[in-house]
Amino acid sequence: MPQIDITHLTKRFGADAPAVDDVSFTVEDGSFTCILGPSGCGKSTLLRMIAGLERASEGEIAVDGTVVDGPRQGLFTPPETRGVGLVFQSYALWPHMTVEDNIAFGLKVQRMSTQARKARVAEMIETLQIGGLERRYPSQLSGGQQQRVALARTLALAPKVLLLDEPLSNLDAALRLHMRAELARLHREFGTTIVFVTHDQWEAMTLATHIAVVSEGRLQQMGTANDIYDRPAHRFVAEFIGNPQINIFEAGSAMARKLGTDMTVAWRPETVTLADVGLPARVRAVLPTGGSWIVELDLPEHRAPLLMSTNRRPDIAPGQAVTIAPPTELHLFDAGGQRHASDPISHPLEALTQP
Amino acid sequence: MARLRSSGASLRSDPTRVVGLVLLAFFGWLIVAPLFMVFADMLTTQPGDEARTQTGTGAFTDYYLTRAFSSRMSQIIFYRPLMNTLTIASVSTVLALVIGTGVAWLLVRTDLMGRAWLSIGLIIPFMLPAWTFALAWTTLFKNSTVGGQPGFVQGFGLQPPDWLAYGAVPTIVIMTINNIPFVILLVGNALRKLDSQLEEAARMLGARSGLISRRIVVPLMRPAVLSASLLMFADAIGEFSVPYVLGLPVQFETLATSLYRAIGTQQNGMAAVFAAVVMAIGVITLSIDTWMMRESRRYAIIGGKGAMARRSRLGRAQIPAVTLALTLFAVGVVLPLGTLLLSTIMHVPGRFTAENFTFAYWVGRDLPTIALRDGILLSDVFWEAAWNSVRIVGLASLAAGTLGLLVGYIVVRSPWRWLAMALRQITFFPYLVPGIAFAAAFLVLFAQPRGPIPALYGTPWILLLALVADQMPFASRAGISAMTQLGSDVEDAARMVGAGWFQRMRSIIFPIQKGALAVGVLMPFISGIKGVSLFIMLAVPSTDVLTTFSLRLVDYDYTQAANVVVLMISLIALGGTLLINRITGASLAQGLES
Ligand SMILES: Nc1ncnc2c1ncn2[C@@H]1O[C@H](COP(=O)(O)OP(=O)(O)O)[C@@H](O)[C@H]1O
Ligand SMILES: [Mg+2]
Repeated sequence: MPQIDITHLTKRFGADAPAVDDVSFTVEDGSFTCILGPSGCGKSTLLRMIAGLERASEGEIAVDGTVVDGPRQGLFTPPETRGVGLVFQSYALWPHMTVEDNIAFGLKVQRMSTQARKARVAEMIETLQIGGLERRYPSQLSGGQQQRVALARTLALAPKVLLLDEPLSNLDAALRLHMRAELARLHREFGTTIVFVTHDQWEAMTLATHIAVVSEGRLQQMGTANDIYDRPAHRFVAEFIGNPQINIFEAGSAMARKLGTDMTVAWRPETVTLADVGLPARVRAVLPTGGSWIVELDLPEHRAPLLMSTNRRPDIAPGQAVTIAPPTELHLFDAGGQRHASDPISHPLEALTQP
Repeated sequence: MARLRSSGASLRSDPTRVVGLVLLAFFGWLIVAPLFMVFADMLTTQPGDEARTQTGTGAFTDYYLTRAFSSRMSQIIFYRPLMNTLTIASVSTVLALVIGTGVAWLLVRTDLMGRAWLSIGLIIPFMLPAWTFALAWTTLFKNSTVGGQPGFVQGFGLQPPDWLAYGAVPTIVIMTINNIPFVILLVGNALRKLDSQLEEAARMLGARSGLISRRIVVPLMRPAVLSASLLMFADAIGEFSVPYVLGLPVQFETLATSLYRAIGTQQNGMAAVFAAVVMAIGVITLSIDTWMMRESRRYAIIGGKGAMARRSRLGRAQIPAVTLALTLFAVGVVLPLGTLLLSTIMHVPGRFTAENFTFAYWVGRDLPTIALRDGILLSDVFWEAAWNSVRIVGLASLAAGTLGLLVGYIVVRSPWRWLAMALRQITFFPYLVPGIAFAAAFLVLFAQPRGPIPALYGTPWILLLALVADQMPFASRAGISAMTQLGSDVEDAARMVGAGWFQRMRSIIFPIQKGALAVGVLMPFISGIKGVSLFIMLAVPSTDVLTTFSLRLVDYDYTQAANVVVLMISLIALGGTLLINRITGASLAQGLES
């Protein structure tokens, strides 16, 4: 069954820094894997290499143990024989074809008989609930409908692996929620392996069984949603995942020294709590975000506010003096940004209360 | 084995490189080789000139260059035509620019009455062949310097002086009229894009309107204006038809007419010199344009989403402004077309008596003229010529449009930057080469068989190929801009489902681009139908086309019949342009700017 093995994959466009840089990971059969990273980090390029639209500069891609792209051996399998389907971020529907023709085109190219083709198109229209739109042109469809057509067009060829480029980012908020559920349903129903790309951690966290975090073309961490949240392998991952953004005390700063380490310290806002004894601080602002609150706290040793996020309405006002409970889950990163210890560390109260 | 299979598969699914190289070779043959031959001819002894150059045929000689640039004859055969060419090109460019910019501003930025109608009406001269105006001018102002039928003015008993009837003055006036719409289109479009919020922002800061136009509007408009004027200038340098019609009686020569005369008298070496000089001026002008366009990239942010042209109130200036616009319409459209039309229904020009009017030249039978017994619309010769024109120009335009789209495809998709650059430059190159020089080059190249290519002279093929080459700048620009706007995703989506390259072209790219393709075919068609120089040089009696037919009628002094033919050509060109607008819904300006 389809498992995708990516080893030392690199893609260079001209003389610039590589768009994808020595990436290795495995997409498990049947998984719902997400490639997550900020825009421009090489996600689409990675996806297009898996699809066969770009050729690797170095490294190897294997589907089911068969090398489909291996520049060293001079191997390259064109997209249509890889058994992968790609849904483009722009959907890339053919504007001069009706919905029906868009879905049927691939089947026609594969020389499926007219009868079988009709049946397959009808089946896809049914599955994706786009009945009634058969004769419309893409320009007459809403964004959500366009995406369904794009999905239908790709799924019609029954790919073993479905690749989705930013599947939710072009949809409005309500539709995103709906399509999210829809993608989860398709994954369940078809049992296909899905690889999708996004810059949105919420999408990644809520949909994916596995997440590959990428930055500047390099794979920073591969794991489950909980793995990458609980144990970010790299400072970049810690900063990229989590909302509001994680608090950072740079190595050598007053706060880092106070916390007794010469490394960079990261402290999740969700784990910042108030207590009777601890770090003295002053409330700068309380920002309601609808159901939860972000509190900005001024520390005497630190320029930027320390963020605290809480699900209970904080009973404090700006200007008020408070004390912060000693941190229980700190992440330490060395100068290269690598994680120091595998588990988060806590900090003894005594060290903090000393002047 | 795997390696072989994979490269074979990629050739089938992505032959971009191969197609690009084939195109490059084709245009090398079609465009570069003829021009190369021109330079070769300029520097080698031509058959028949051995005694003059005192070398054998084909040997290197500087005879032609010396004769043109520094001989006793230079003044007459080279410098005077050169000065004439530069004079008419620069004066007509400046005049068109001044008038056109003013009118563009009136149309785009003011509440000029009837501006919707005027902005169509004032563009019409652009769709008419330049020599329509030349013929209309002679019909009006012809004097007794040349024989034949009198002009209208003469019909009223006045004798127009030579300077008004022929030579520089009418040539400049006509080229100005012909170019004003070009300025209106380009500058008008730039004005439309110029966000009036930019002006308003300045006004909010307290800037006076004089300051605003000096510091905001003028700098932002400068790229469009300069670009328009350089394109016009380059075009005017090679203008052949107008000086050809109006220059002859007073020996007013330009480089283009000198070139034609040199070819006509078998002086291929001298013809090559003229052609080379015209090309050189074109290349210099366009290099300046390219360089300035690069400079002006920095302004590219203008025309934001909220662009909104606020119109100034003309108030009391309304009447003079409308009068000005209407005058321009009258001079540019009503007068020339009216004159031509009127001339075709009169036996003797300018005599307004009832019995002098006739439709015989259109639909008459048994005319007293020797070579033309029937009215034009009833004559087989006309319909045959019309059919030839439409067929040859149509085929050439279809080829040019298709090639243009392919060039666009390669330019946008080729993994090789140099190939994209080379194709873009080569296909644009004919723009710098006036048709007459191109025709000369084609004569040189295809007069004798070369390699597998037989001698094409005397066949319609040479005309067809020359038309294709001549129209490639339009066609490839249209193709490049269309392909630039079409992202690669739609094609990649077809690749994903296994569609090969030819299938992608047939089922995806060309159908999506059919609007652009229509423009890429029709633009060349219109400009081809209007053209003179290629036909006059390359058409042979066996393939009579409208242009040669009407010029022959002029030669026979069948003015009325000639004017009927010219009106019919104008009608075709006009109809074609309107068709483009219908198809694309886009304005001509966008087509020009691409
Ligand atoms: N065809 C290409 N040619 C040159 N550079 C490219 C090409 N495709 C992508 N890149 C570059 O590679 C980098 C990664 O791009 P991409 O994979 O699209 O990022 P993402 O999808 O993560 O936003 C970018 O810097 C981009 O400019
Ligand atoms: Mg992307």
